Parts: sequence; C-alpha cells; structure tokens
Amino acid sequence: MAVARPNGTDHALLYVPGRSFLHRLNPLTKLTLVLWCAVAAFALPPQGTIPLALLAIAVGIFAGAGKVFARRLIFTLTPLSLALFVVHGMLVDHEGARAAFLGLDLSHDGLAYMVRILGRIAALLSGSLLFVCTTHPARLLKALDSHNFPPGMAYVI
Amino acid sequence: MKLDTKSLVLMAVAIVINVVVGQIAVWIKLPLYVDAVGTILVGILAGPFAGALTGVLTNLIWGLISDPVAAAFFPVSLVIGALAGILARMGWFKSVGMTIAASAVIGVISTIVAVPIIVYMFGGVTGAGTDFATAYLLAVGQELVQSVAIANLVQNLADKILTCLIAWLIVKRLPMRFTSGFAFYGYSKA
Repeated sequence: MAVARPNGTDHALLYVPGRSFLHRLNPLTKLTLVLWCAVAAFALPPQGTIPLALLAIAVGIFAGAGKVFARRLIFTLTPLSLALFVVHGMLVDHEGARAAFLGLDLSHDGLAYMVRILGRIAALLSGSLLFVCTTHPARLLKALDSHNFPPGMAYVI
Repeated sequence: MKLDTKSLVLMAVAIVINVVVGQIAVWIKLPLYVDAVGTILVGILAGPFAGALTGVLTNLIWGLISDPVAAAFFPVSLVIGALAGILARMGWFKSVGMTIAASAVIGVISTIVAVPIIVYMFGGVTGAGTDFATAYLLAVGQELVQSVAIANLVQNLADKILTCLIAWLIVKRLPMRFTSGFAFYGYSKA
C-alpha cells in the first residue's frame, strides 16, 4: 500500500480525500472514537447501536464517503443477515412465540436477537469506516511518530 | 521484547499475506479461512512473540480496513501465532508429519478460543462458509454451541493443516541466505 500521497487518490486504500472536519481531526483522536464506538457497540442495546450506526453513516456521507459506506455495509451485513435469519429466525429453538410468514416458521425472539447482533456489527463497521475513509495512513504514521510510538511498530501498521 | 528489522519486515509481509488470502476466502465463501499462513510463517521463523503480534495486528488492521468481524477474533490469531512459535521451538516443524501434528494442536486450541467469541458475540454465525455447516447441524437437532463447536473444529482442523503445510513449504523453499538471519529457525531445521 502506498502511503506517501495524503492528498491524492489511491485505489488500494479506502481513504476518500477531502477537507471535512473529520479529515482534519487528529488520527489518534479518531482512533479513540473508534475504540469508544467498539465499546458502545457491545455495551448498548439495539435501541442504542442502531442510532449509533445511522449517525456514523450520516457523518460518513457528510465527509464524502457515502459510496464506500454503502458498499462495505452491504458486503458485510448481507451474508450475516441471511445467516442470522436462518439460524436464529428459523432453526434455533428460542423461547417465546413463533409465527408463520410466507410459509416460514419464524421465532419472534430469534428475529429480535438477529437485530441485536446486526445493530452491534453495523455500529462497529460504521465506526471503523469513519476512521479508515477519512484518515490517510501517512497521517496516522506521523501522528503515531509524534507521540513516540515505536517506529518499528508504526512501520508494521 | 525487541524485534529486529528483519523480523519487522517479515511481519509486515506476513500481515499482507494473511489479509489478502483471508479476504479472498471470505469473498468466494470458501469453507476455510486460510488467513494465518503469514502468522504461522512468522511463528516458525521468528518465534512465539513475533507470531502472536503478527496475528493480533493482522486481525486489528483487517477489522479496521474492511471486516470488523475479523477484529473480534484477534485472541484466536494471537493463540495461533504463539502456538506456532512454541511448537516450532519444540521442533514440531521439522518434517511434514510433525507439521501435520502441530497443525492439529493449533486447530483444536484455536477452536476452543474461537467458539465462545462466535457464539456470544456473533450469535453463532460469522458470514463465512462455516455457517452452512452450523445451520445443517442445527437443522438435524444439535444445540447452537455444539453446532458451532463441531462445525468449527472440523473446519479449523482442515484449515490449519492446509495453512501449516503452506507455511512450512514456504519456509523450506526460502533461500538459506534469508533464513540464516532468523536464529529461531534453527529449531525447525531437520
């Protein structure tokens, strides 16, 4: 991966060049926000994770990375949604009511569990995409270097 | 523990190998992960610490770039890298037969670490090819934890045997001029 062109386009990276507030933010501050997002994704109920993911997507669109967000979310969440729907909606014997829908015997609790897991992953993915789409690796390396991060480790990253 | 320049360069290359091969396996829904070739390679050549670090960094970087599911499995990669190094230290990568035995140990222990993450963090699915096997086992009446454990054990054994053999073959084909820089590799020489 090339790291020497923070203002140019580089198709090997998900980075989207821009001048938004997020682009100008210190990469380590953004990294801290990603960590906060990861903790929140596991600590919050779906009522918290889904709005968090939507907020991250909205900010991503505002930063000019809407296409990358859409593509990545679809690629990651589609197979997971299908697998969770089959496993928890239909196969796992959850407690609570079941209902027939289009010939399928679906579990209410199983579908609620599916939404919880998907909300968690969407929040995680959106948070990390915000960081990757608005941070060029060269800026991250400079930020790590300026905070006395071991140069060897910075090189590997 | 301090890593020399050669080990750091090897780790960087290994991370790229892990992410690229692993992502291809995810895209084509291969029922194997094949995302630890680089980690095991580093474990054999540079030891358990470098192997574990390569595993952790692979999953964290991969998670940050494209797949947050991968990031959650960093403890599994840590164990794989550390075990590869420990088993290499014990001389388990000297021949094909011993490499297969080492891969079985890595496969079983990495499954023990992976199952709780799959079940309690992702509800038993990961969006990878193993989900088909898990769904089949659930459909024939197994419990969720058992289904995930059996599906992942079978897959992990096959995956780790393939992964370790690829890493072993790469190591054996590397020029001596390169491998002589890694003192740790002496434990895996026949």
